[in-house]
Amino acid sequence: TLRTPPAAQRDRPPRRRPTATTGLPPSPPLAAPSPKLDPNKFQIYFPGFATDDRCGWWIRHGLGISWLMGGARLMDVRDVNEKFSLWTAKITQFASILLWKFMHFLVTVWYLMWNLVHMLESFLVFHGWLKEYKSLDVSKLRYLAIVIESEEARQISDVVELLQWLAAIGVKHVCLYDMEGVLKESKEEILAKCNARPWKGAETAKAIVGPTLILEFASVSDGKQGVEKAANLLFAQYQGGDQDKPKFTEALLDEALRLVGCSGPEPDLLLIYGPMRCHLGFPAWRIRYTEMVHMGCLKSKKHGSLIKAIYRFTTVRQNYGT
Amino acid sequence: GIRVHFVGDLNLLDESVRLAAERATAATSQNSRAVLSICMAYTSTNEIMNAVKQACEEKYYECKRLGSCGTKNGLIDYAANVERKDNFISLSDIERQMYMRVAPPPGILVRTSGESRLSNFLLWQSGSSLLYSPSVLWPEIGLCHLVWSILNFQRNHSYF
Repeated sequence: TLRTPPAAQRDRPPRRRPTATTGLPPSPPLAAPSPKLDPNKFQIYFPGFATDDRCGWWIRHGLGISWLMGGARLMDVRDVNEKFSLWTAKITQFASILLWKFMHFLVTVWYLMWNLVHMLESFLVFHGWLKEYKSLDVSKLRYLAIVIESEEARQISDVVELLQWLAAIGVKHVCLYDMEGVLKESKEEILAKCNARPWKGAETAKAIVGPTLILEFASVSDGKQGVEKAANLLFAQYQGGDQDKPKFTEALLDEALRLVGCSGPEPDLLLIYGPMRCHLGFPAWRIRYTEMVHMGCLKSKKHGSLIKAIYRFTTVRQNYGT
Repeated sequence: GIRVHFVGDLNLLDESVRLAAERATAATSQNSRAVLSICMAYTSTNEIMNAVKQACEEKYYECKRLGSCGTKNGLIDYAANVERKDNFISLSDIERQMYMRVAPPPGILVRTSGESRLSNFLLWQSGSSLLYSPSVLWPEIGLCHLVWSILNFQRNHSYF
């Protein structure tokens, strides 16, 4: 069996025999080449210190230890770049958020100033100090719709006050809409407090006479879901008549919506009480050419703003195609 | 590139215009950077009526196919359960046939020239959209109007 030579003997370079050609002892091994430096890494190389130089070994390691004790250490350039990029991204994100907040602060300040001016104008309009709003002709406004956000619609007293203002102005026919049907649930209470009567569904404009305010209540179920009901009604007719299938026209769909109880006249003006100018799903079939005006929140409603919105509607001119 | 859709009753258009629109749609079908929908021969009420018509026809042929397979007393009765007995057509069936099914509901709807009505445009899809009506006319609308509309949109949504 072979015996493993001791460690000291294994590390010793092998003895070289004289070459056969010259008879001279072999030349000493070349000095160890300088280590190749990796350009991707930041490495410290001490030239002149050979690995087999005991003095150099002590100097090199002594310097290294002193460097560690000084707090510096060997780092890769790649790690430094990654950390720099991370800090830059965080600073950029923070600066962007700060700029976004500042822009919205300016917008809020602008709206505060606009609300103050609007409040002053409403005061002047209500008290008749602006001549142009004195003569208000509401005959052009045959049908008015009011969209209220469902949370604000729970304040029935505000809704009743608004309807009383409209009745005082001379508006006869009003549709109240909110998405969740809160106003439908409070229908009886609103009708009683306003001394109004409900809309009967098949009334024409000529039938709406007299001082009594006529109210209609709508919700999202009268919009898209109403079209769904009308579609099923038409499908029943489509499925039943093998020989004579209905020809689909807008008039036919309008009739189907009337039969399922989701139809009504098209409002001339739509007043939106809520945080955003959005019709919140008011029945799409009925607002083709309806003027939409955003009035702000219901709790901050103003009588003068109402008069101004109706006056501006009377000055609108709509062009229809031939 | 930009993907282009032509939305509306394209059968009302002249033959050359309709073919050009179809070629443009086919040529840009693989683009994914942005989507541009151009409404031509379009009104919202016509879109709703057409969607109801297509939904009725689709459901009619589906029922006829099921009936011809001999499953009339099986699948149809199973599908038309007590709750849906009167609702063969659902809201999703109608919305699937809309011209504007190629795009999601808009977040902001801009109407220039200061007019505050929609004029029979995207009535079905704009239920939760911010309606923005700058007084500026169309050729003069610029970046500042767009930024202002986006700032107003952001005021009604929570971020951070």
